[in-house]
Amino acid sequence: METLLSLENLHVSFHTPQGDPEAVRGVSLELRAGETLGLVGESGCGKSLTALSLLGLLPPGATQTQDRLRFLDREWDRPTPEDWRSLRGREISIVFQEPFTSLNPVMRVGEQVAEVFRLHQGMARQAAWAASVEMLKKVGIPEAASRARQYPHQFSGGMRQRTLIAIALACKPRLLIADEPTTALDVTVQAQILKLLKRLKREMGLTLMLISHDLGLVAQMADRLAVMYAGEIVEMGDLQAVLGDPKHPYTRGLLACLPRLGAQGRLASLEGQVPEISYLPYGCAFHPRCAHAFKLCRRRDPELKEVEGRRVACHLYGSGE
Amino acid sequence: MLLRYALKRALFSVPLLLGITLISFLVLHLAPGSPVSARGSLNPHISPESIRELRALYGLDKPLSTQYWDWLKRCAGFNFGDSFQDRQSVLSHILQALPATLLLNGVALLLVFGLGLPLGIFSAIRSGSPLDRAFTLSSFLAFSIPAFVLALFLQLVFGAWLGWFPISGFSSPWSMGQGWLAQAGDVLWHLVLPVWTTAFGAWVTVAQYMRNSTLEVLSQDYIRTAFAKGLGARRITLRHALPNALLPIITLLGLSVPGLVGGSFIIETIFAWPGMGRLGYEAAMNYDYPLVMGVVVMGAVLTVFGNLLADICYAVVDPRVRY
Amino acid sequence: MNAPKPRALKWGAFFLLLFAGVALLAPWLSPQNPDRQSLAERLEPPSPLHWMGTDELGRDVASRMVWGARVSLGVGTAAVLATTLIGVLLGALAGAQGGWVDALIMRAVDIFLCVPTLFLVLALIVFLGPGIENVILVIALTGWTDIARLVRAEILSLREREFVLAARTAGASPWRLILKHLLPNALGPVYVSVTFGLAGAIMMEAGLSFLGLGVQPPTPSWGSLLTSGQDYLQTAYWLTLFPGLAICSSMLVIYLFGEGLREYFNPRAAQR
Repeated sequence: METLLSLENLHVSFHTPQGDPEAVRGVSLELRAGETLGLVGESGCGKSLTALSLLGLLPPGATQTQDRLRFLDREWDRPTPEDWRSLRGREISIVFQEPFTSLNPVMRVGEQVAEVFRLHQGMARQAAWAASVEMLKKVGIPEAASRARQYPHQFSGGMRQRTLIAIALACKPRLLIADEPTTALDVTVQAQILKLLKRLKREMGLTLMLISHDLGLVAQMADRLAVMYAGEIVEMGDLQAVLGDPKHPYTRGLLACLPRLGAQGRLASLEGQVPEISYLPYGCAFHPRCAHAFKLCRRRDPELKEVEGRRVACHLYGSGE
Repeated sequence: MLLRYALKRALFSVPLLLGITLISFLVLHLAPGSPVSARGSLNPHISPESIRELRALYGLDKPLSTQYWDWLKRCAGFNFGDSFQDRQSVLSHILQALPATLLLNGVALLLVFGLGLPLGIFSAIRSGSPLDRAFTLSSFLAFSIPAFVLALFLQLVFGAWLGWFPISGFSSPWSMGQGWLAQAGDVLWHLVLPVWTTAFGAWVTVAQYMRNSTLEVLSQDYIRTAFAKGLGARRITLRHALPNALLPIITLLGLSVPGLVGGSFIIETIFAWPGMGRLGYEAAMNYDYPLVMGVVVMGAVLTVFGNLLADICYAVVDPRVRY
Repeated sequence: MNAPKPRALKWGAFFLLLFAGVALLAPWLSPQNPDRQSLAERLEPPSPLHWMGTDELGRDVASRMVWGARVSLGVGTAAVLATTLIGVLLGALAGAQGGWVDALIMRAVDIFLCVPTLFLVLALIVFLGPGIENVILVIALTGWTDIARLVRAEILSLREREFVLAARTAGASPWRLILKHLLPNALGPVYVSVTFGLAGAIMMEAGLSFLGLGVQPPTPSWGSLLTSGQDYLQTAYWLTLFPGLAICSSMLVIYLFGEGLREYFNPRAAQR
């Protein structure tokens, strides 16, 4: 399969008067055209920052560095603002987890979609409006023609998320990043949005990067899975392989937390909390919470290594040299 | 929809207006001292009979509630009574003073918003830059200068020392009988220092307000969405950030309406500017109840009207309020 | 996270103490008797003998400035203390009692907010008559609303916190609750507001005295010194310059101190 995007050795740090702690520490990943990659981890593990870094959208105060970012046949080590703009909305789009605040409150919904057509396809005002209504129809907004004339506050949460998806997909990007797209929504609406994403992915031949703290949700959608912990990918591989036989203790912990229908007894939970980025433990960042930690874990941060058809960063699997 | 909203707001402001006039009325009439007491501008050797006569003349011998009711009834017909001092109608006094104040504060307001808004926006977009920091520092200094001290300093430097601008007054004697252009130029020349004084503090306030509002908006999620669309910084600022950042400024504009017409008595007194502020001040000093009440009512109506106007503008611009 | 170094606070406090020192030590610092008139020395420009010049009655301006500091800062302080006392008392009462007491106090606040403060001050002072006591009274009467609202809001938000609930369950009386538990915790923002209130009060006193409605002659205050400054603007700049600078610099120092306090109590908001 063709590689759509590859990112090598991403670091994200925050500038503070007390130093520049890193929130993402050397993440490398690859997206193959047409696949769905699930990125999971507890909140604060750096998965959203990784996603934002793919579009150069980090908040002020955060800086990213990477060895290389490649999209199809283009390649940068330090993309300029113009490079980012050539990707955003045209090649890579993103849907955020805050549908309630991510639309401009004083602009008509249709206009917010039309803006993308006018920007990227140079459409005239009226053509862009028509295309915008069409797009809103496509994401399942009823009576799109009249709804397009309304303002965001007249839309429900689910409708706003549909609108944001319409904005993201208006110019047929190759890659859609969905960052916790359903977290803010009601359970019934969540299911509708996931169904919509699935359908659009099929219809438009999208590559999807789905980011969530909810392993169960990702398991329904993803082909491959990447698990992040404290700014690093700790396990990455095909969904079936990883879920069927998780190698990293953290992945196992996450999996044990999943509620199962008909299961008896108490729900397992991971002990402890994600460490703060300014106070990362020495060695493997997970070792204070790990039941299997041994001496080496406190000394050295394990690297991602090939283990039984997936990549794992854990000293339990061959201490290498 | 909009009309109903406006009417509703207007209706709500009636009790507020009544409240303000009632309070002013009570403060005025319950406080010690009165136009007929010895502390007024009247003869201290006045006889008790003539005091009684005077009180009857002014209606001051009736119970307060009756006085207030009478006054209110007359107000409804735009009759604010006559000034105690010269028996001219209060309305004519106000109409004489209004243009000067409108001119002074209108020009000041234009300057304040015309310069304050762009500076605030610029300062926010370039947040943390030398320009931004210089602005923050200078606004700090500017807040420390009370208007009347600024007025005196300006008079001292530009009036007394440099002689560039007249120290006070509305026009020069020589301009009488000249062409209208010369007269207008003369008034403008007199306008410089009072306008500067009036605009100075407000200018910093508006710029700071705009700066904070813009910073606030720039950190919103929908700005991130706009960036994710691939829009350029200029379009995002103009099309997405500004319309949102300007919303709270409407309230600020509404709040400036009363000042626009009410004037500031300190500034107008210092510059001998024949406007509403000075009128009210002198009326208060002379216990001229009808005139004071006229000025107060004018001020109250304008305050309420300004707020109303701001609310309606808000509804026009912000779809969230309208529906 | 370390708290940011409160530089503004330190420097503000330093200069504030300097001003207070001048005011307190006026009898010793004053070069001459501030009320001694000498018609032979009318309107003399600054010189080694009168280093801020003399006024229209031949009085030494430097001496009047030093004594004026005492009056200006004293009146400002007294006024802001009275303001704070009224504000904290009513705000605490409204916040802690709730019900009709709260409703009554808050309606009063609303009404005060509707009438322009400057006008109210003017009207009150005209009808009460000028003088130091009345200036203090008028500033206190018109200025308490901000602090009252602040204290009320703080107390409302504190009232539901655990430690207050605990004290209440333990059977503490309402007043004891206010004094021992609620007020001390609500005071941070109040200090900041009081500091800015002090600047406002000094400005108000100066303005009123300048108009001849405040401190009466021959008592010197920075505001009343400016009055003669305006009369002799063309000939005696020193009568305007020095008192004006004194007022501005005291404002600046107080704002600096207030900004420092705000930073100290709320480091995150101040960083923005």
